[in-house]
Amino acid sequence: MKVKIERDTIAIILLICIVLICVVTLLGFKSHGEVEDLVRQQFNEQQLMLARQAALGIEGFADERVTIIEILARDRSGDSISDITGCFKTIYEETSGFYSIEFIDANGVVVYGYPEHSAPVGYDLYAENMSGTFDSARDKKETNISSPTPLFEGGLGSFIWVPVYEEEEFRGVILAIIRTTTITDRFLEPIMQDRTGYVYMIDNKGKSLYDGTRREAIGKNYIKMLSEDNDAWLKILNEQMNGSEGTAVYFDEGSRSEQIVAYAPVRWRDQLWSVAISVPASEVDDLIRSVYVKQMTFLGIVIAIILGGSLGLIVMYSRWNKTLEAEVKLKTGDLIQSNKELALANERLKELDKLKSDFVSMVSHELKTPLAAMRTSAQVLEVTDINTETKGEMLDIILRNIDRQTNLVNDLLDLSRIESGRMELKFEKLSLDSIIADSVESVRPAAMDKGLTLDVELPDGLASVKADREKLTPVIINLLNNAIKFTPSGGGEIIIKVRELNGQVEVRVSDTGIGIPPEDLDRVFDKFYQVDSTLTREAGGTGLGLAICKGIIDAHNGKIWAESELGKGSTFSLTLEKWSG
Amino acid sequence: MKLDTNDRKIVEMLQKDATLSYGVIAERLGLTEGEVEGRISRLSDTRTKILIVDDELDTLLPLKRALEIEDFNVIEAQDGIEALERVGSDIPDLILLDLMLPKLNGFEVCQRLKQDEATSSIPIIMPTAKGETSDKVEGIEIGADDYVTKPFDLDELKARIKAVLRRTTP
Repeated sequence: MKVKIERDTIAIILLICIVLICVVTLLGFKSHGEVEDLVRQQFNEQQLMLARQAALGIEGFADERVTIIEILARDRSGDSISDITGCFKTIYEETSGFYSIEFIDANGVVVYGYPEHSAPVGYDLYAENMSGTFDSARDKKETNISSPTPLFEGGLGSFIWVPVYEEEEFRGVILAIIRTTTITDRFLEPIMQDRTGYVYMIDNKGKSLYDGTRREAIGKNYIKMLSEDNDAWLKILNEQMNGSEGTAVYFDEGSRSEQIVAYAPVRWRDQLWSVAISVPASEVDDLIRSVYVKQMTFLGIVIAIILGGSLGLIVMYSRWNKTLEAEVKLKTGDLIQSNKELALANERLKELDKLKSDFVSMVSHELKTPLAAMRTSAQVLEVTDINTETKGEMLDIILRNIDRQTNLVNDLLDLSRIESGRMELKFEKLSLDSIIADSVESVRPAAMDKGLTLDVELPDGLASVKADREKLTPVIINLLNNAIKFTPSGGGEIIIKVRELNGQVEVRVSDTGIGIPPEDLDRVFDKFYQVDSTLTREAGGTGLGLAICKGIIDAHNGKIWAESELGKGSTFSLTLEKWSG
Repeated sequence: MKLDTNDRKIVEMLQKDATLSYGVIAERLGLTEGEVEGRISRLSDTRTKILIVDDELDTLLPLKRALEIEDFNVIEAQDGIEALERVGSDIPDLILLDLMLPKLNGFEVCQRLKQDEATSSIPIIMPTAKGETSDKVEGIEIGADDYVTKPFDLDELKARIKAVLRRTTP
């Protein structure tokens, strides 16, 4: 039962542990999906920000250049042409980015240019039939920026035509050229350093202004280069050409991978370009994977904590259980112990009850027997014609039984006093020599009658004992009488021996008599116990002597016991405390 | 009265020749003269024989004297085993059987006597010091013929003995 409960509890803890792990795992996987979306979204936004940043950079850079030229054209419109062109060098050197700055006079002829070596001074636009943009700038009285067009020297360049008017007088046009590579080197090239993917930029016709991977495509139109089935990229390009911004995905045939494209427009006056950052989708997957790894690590740690916690709980519980069990065992043990004691006490009470009723019936028998003898004898004496011999016999019986009755009553009274604890002992410093001498003297006639020798062995300088002379003497006499009683006539020997032992004084009375059967040894001190009643009766015993002896010795804090070998003799020993002052 | 072989031979011899001396009979049967005398005196004793069984000599002796005065032939035994032996050798006409006996108690002696066909007809009176009803009932069940309670009145005992003898002797 106990083991079952313990198992149940452990099972419950394990179950809770498993449920917790399941919940954590489920939550983990659910959040995986969310995290994946979030990471993708974040990634896209980041790409878009990058594109936007690049676009803004380009816008700012290019517009700033245009503004400088416009300020020059407006502020110096009244100056001489040489004054105007005199600023070119300063502007060129102070503001990086210009390829060249030229001045075309009102007739369409290049009059000055800086740096001077690349300036086609004397070049007549009208003569070369290249005056379209010049005319448009003059007529509209505002800056005209051309689409990036191939330069003589190679590469693309943007031509910025800024008309110079003094009041209504047209003085000419400042033409500034900015190479596309100047812009892209500054703003697009650094974006993809140490990163996968590439950047490209197109104008509003789909012409490539910059391409991080395919340099050869620069200047060409992507739309024309596209294979027919690449609708997804075409769609992106269209969005870009419209000036939209955003992110999109397409499958790149060349690298055979999904590409995420983030694009943002560059609005430079009337020019519309679009910067795009194209990154393989696997980049995001890598990112997500790293997030996964972190998440899985976290999950693992949580599960480990749950498992550890459960294990700790189980260990703690089982320990607690064990302590509890031990306590219960202890308590149960106490109960069992007290139950046993109660049962034992009950047994003892029953025994005592039986002893008591046995005692009562024994007393009844022992009291009635002498009475019966006396009564019968007296009735025999009543008969007138009996002879003298019979008369004497009957009178003897009557007297003997009166004595017997008297002895019995005295013994019973002694016993009653002992058992009720009313026996008063007058302890004094006693020398055993005199007590033993007195006792031996009083039994000597009986021993001599039976032809038994009586030996006393007393060591010199024997310590005194603490005892009551009046009570102790009858005990010694009783033991000696018993020894005489149970030793057959002639040749027997009775020895009384005294010695000090373990701080006590021991008295031993040994005989060479009939002995006591081993099974009766414990009972000789019981009331009315008689090994052979006939012999006892002959000697006038009441069967209470040894019980009284034991009571008296017990009251002296001593011990009394018997040893015997059947047919060889018995030894009764008793111990007494030494007189301690 | 039960006779053994020697008893019968003595009787036969004396019937043929009443003048035979104890010595002659003793010689013929290989017995001592004293034994022959004892047998003849026993054979010639026609008094009712009562066996008293009691371990208390002081109880036994006055009873014996009282019954002898009444002219009973009294024999005695002091324990259960001796009682059975005396019954076997002397065939008493009545037994006064005490309950508390050494070796074999009164109930056991009674039981054995009543189970043995040869002795079952001998009446038994049990004097007991206990006076407890349960003892009496047990005694009656195993076949004791009567009771007297200690200390008993001698006249009552004598009357009971005579009554039991009358009842059991044909």
